Amino acid sequence: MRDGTAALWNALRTGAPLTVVFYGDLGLRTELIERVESLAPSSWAVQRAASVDEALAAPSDALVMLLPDDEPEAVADLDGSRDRFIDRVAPVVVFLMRGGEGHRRLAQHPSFASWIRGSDVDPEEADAWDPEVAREEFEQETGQTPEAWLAARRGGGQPGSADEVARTYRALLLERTDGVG
Amino acid sequence: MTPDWSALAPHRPAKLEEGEYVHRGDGLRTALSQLVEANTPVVLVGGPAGVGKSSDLVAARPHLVRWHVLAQLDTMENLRKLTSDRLLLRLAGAAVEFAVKWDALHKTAEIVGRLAAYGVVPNLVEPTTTAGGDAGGRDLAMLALREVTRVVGSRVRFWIDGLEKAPEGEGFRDLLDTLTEVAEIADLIVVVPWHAAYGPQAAEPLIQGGERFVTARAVRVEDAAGIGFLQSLVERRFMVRSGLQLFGTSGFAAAFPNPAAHQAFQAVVTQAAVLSGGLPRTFLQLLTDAAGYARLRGQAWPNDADLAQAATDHRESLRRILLPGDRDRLGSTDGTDGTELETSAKVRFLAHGLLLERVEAGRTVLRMAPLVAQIARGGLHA
Repeated sequence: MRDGTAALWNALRTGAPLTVVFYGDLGLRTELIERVESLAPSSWAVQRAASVDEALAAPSDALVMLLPDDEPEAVADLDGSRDRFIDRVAPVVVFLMRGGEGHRRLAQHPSFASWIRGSDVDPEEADAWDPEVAREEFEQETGQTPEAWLAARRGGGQPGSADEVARTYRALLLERTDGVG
Repeated sequence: MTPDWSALAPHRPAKLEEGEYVHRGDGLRTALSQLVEANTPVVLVGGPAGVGKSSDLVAARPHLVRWHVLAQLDTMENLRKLTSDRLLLRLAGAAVEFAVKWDALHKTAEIVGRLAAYGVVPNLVEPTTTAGGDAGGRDLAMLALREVTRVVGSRVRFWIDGLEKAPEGEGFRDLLDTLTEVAEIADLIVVVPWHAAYGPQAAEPLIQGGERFVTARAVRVEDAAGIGFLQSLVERRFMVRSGLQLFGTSGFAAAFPNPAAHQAFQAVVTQAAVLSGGLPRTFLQLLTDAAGYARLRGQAWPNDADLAQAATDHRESLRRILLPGDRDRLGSTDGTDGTELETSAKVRFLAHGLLLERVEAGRTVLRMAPLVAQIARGGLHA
């Protein structure tokens, strides 16, 4: 299974102090901010920042959504300031426009690029997946259809572990609304 | 039991004092120790991001001998905005803190108070915001460096980490000029960017005549010793960060339900080592990422499929930092000494670890990192 939600869920939990989420347009960025918030551990407070200095000033246990006013400037500053984020408990999630100047600047900034490797996510690209294949994979992993999985949780079952929550999120994405399955 | 994968902390240099560091016999630490032993006044260090420069620098610094001052500039400053005055103040602050630590200076000394106004002795005086910036700081910093040299009665050696993040240009030349000034009264070991080693200025000494340049190279994953080193990194980090109480005294193997499970994980570790091209950070990132996918499956330990997902994530990351024409450049340089490659591309490829220096049959050649090779050969979004 590989999809944007799984990649985001994973990126938030690798322990990396900095991670990047790529977006295509402002509408999608808003949607992604909500998605990141919903996937983050509930113990993390959420804070927004518009510059690297603001992100540095945020408490280390708060999930920081860095929506830079100037993306290329932020990438350059993160390259030069990377190690000042080393003790963060919750990551700073940097939103960069896919194909934008900030994204292109990554090629010039190996220190920052090295830190985010494997935990920079383009959910829209990753979401280019076949839902039928994803359903089959879900059923193989859990032994249940997404609908059956959700029905068990909606029936007032235990809240479950973080892994179960992530699976529930996947099931929600895979759920058929026409009653099939 | 659920292992704490955050223990691998790929972004964090090994903590020497906690026993996390694993000594790699052919690594940077050995080379630096030999150069210090030979009293080489100025040593410059280069290497790709994630190769372990910071860990080796800390480990090579003699801890029981006085006046080896560590200055981790990247934990204190935005290197992009570092001025030569600020660099000098930071070195002065680090030297004074060491002098106080070793009782050669008292923390009430006048020089401490004056440096405190610039916020560069944070372990002695809590930094506060100064309205005056660094004005007047340069002379004070030189004064402090001379004072430390005087009270200790010998040259200090600075171990300067983080300068590799300083951008190319006039500002960087100013930083080097400042280090040249410092080299008159102190010995230096400095991590420098690739553009300093291969750029237009590389033909001339960067700091002063007699400087030596040392390259930190990726681990040789073709050798059993290289794989063994990377395996040890994983085990040590688990054991130290979360393992001792988790795994008990019987070692890492005790974390697994049976020997077969341990063996299966070791196979994944070996695969990750090979995919990483021998860059320790990449190796740890691959494993951490794979472990996340295992958790999504409800499993404690990653398998081959999880690692494959992690490798896909990494290839995506690498693809995003490639510029038009890079695949051809990388492909045609693979296996050569890189002399045909334009300097700016060479500097970029080496700094990112897209190309790795290897010694093959006694000569240095450039090889694409394994995941980069997969992209260049059309393995992803060809």
